[in-house]
Amino acid sequence: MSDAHTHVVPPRVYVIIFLTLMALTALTTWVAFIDLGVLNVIIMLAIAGFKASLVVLWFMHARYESQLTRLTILGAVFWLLVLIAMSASDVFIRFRPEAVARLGLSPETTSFVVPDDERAAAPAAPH
Amino acid sequence: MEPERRVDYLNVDYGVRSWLLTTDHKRIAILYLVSITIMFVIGGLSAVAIRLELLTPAGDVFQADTYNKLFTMHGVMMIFFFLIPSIPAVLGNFLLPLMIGARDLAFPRLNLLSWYIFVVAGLLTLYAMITGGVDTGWTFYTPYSTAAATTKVIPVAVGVFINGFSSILTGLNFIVTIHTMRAPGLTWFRLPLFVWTHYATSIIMVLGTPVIAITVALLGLERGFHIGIFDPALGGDPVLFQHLFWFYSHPAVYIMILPSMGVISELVTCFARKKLYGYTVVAGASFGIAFLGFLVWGHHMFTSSQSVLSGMIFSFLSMAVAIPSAVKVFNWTATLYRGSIAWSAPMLYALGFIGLFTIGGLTGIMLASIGLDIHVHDTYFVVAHFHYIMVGGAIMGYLGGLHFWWPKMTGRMYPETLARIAGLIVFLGFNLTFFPQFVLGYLGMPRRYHAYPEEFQVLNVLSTAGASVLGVGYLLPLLYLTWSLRYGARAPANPWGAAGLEWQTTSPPPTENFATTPIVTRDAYDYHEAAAPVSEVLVRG
Amino acid sequence: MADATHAGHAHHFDDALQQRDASTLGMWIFLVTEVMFFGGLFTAYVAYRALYPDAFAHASHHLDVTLGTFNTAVLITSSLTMALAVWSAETGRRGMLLLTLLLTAALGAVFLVVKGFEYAEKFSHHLVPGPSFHWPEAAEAPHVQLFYSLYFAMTGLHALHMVIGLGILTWLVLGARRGRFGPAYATPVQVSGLYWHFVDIVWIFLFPLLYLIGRH
Repeated sequence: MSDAHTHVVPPRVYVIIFLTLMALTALTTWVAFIDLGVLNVIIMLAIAGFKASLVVLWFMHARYESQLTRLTILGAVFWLLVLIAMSASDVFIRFRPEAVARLGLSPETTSFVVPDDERAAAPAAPH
Repeated sequence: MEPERRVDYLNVDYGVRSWLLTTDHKRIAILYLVSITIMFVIGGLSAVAIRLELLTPAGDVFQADTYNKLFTMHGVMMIFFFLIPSIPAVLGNFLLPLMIGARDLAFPRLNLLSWYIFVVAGLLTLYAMITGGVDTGWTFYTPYSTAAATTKVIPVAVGVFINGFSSILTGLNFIVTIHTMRAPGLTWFRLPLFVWTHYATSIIMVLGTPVIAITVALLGLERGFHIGIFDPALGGDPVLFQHLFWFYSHPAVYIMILPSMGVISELVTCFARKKLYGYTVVAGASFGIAFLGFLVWGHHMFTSSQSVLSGMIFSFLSMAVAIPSAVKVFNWTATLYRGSIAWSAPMLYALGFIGLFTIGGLTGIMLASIGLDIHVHDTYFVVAHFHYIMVGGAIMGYLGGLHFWWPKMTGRMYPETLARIAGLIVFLGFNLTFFPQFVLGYLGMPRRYHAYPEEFQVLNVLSTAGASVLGVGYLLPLLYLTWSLRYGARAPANPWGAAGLEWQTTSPPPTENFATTPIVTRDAYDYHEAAAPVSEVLVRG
Repeated sequence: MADATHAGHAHHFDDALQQRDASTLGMWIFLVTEVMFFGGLFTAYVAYRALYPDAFAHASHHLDVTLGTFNTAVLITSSLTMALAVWSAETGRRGMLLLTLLLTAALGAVFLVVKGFEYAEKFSHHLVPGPSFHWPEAAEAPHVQLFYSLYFAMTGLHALHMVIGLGILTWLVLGARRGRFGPAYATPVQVSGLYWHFVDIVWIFLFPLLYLIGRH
């Protein structure tokens, strides 16, 4: 009794995906040696993300799986991004207040550190 | 009266091997019950030591270093080895398959592995505690934990790391089981809320626990191998540790409270004899709590030098997460309104939960406000807040559920009058212990200190007195529940007349749970008709 | 019990389909936990690379791009062979199943051997974090050490997962030799494939993030 839910993907599809992945790998390495400024990182991540999508959709069969599976995958990606974005951004804000200032945010929003001249002027804390 | 003892999951086989190699979710639940009770006692004894020291202002019972080890042990044992497993591993494991009409969880062997992982982790952590202990607090903040502490940080970190996998496997098991093994006719919106809350809890376990696992792993690597991710000397950031730590540890508190909320929904409906007011909203609120709970961790870090901008975002989101929690309290209250109230022991625990959780929750909103938090951060105000939720909330729910389902799990009734008295003692003892701590904290008494200024003594003495009463309140169930195993009245299938599939099988259930797979045709809390007697369970096919 | 031609199932499931659905969902959820597990390391990486871009670039230059690219190609090929192994199980090609499983394992082993060479080279060049770490440019040395802490933590964790993957493949090979897997029971191969592909995906991100910083 064969499993009606398994969509058997033919090997030639796998080979096409494989060749695409190899080409994209070569592309990533090649682009790394060209100076594109900030675009380098963006292109790198975009290619990696695209490669990962190919693996997930075809090698891992996600293209043929249920809504629940797709929701699970998207959920994982979403929470990963929340973790990275909120934690790493806070580290950056604290270490590079001058970069944050260039975005137009006032120094008070970046940290609790009281500038030295303000601390000297403040009265001693009552206790 | 049966002429011979009916075969159930307890008497189907005797002997140590039949228990230690079982894959029956009900037996695994009992294994967890025994282990977490031991952990609770150890955590409780360290609390006794703490309260003893705090009877007098001077640090005259223990040295400061020893005191640090005591409160660390209290936190680690209570959080990681008692509260996080408690309801899911005991009541969840036992009841989930029964509530959905299944024969077991999706992965019974993984379930047993989960328990063994818990035991190994617990033994390792206990070993470390006994042979020197850890003094970093259960939060393991760097750089103290990585560079300066001379205590057994690495073994405890490893113990916590290993224990995380127990949690992950349980959550994974629950999610798959709920998705794939519901009985025919059991649609999502006919599920008991106990199942909904355990589903939400499992999502948190699965998403959050791996992050603390990698965090304590990095802590160990930095301490042991100088792989210095948090080391300021290398340009690393100790506050990054706090971000990674609290990304799990805040949702962890929802792992601890959501299952308890599920219990309360079952208790309130049964003992008010009414269906739950706003079922769909309460089910959704469980997910609202889980979702928002992942976005608020920075409220533990308002004074850590976290940027004000981040602080404001976390503060706002922390206020938001109170909304689904409050919704639940309103809906339980509305369920009680015009209900036919029975003052059973489980109901007393449920009512206690509603009141105490509300106080804990309101003080949580106070702490979410940055200005106020800076004033009371690291004081007893915070200690009181989380004990109101964890003890006044989660543990009351656990005890209420344990009493409610005790007949189902053991086939025995517990002594009802004694249980009610014990419940009242717990309630009174709890409030006497922790309410003074709100005042102490607001007046400025810091936490994690073994000595304090003279003017705080009266409140501390009240708190310790309360802890003694609370201890008696906890000791009583330990004694009479054990007593009931031998001398308690034999329980019928449905002593409470409750709705729910678990009551449609015998007390205790047979190993395969149901003689025939039930088919569900009703909503979860169909109390306006009498609960369906056993003969109405339709035979499949 | 299940085998290649008879879809059996464990006693607590209603049928083989329910068992397969449960196993597949279980593995996907496990992979979610793995995403979050590696996620902590990626968080630290993002934070520190943003803070110390130059030191990270200089540190990255010392990694061998050729070996890194080669290893990426090896892993992608192993994902192909693993996918073909799944296909072989689903279509009852026993010989092909055995061959593709062995190829996947062999490619995984090649990856680890190359990694071993790289680690040995780091060791001899004093790039392992700790007391023996040495970097000629004193000003950026602490930040370079931070990079290498992340390098070893991330590739080390990845390598550990590869080793576990090899263990799983060994178990599959033993089962394939006994003819356990076929159209009626391909689930263990499918589910192991998911794990293997995930480990590949982690490397797909690790390679550019560690080896290709500021190479121009």
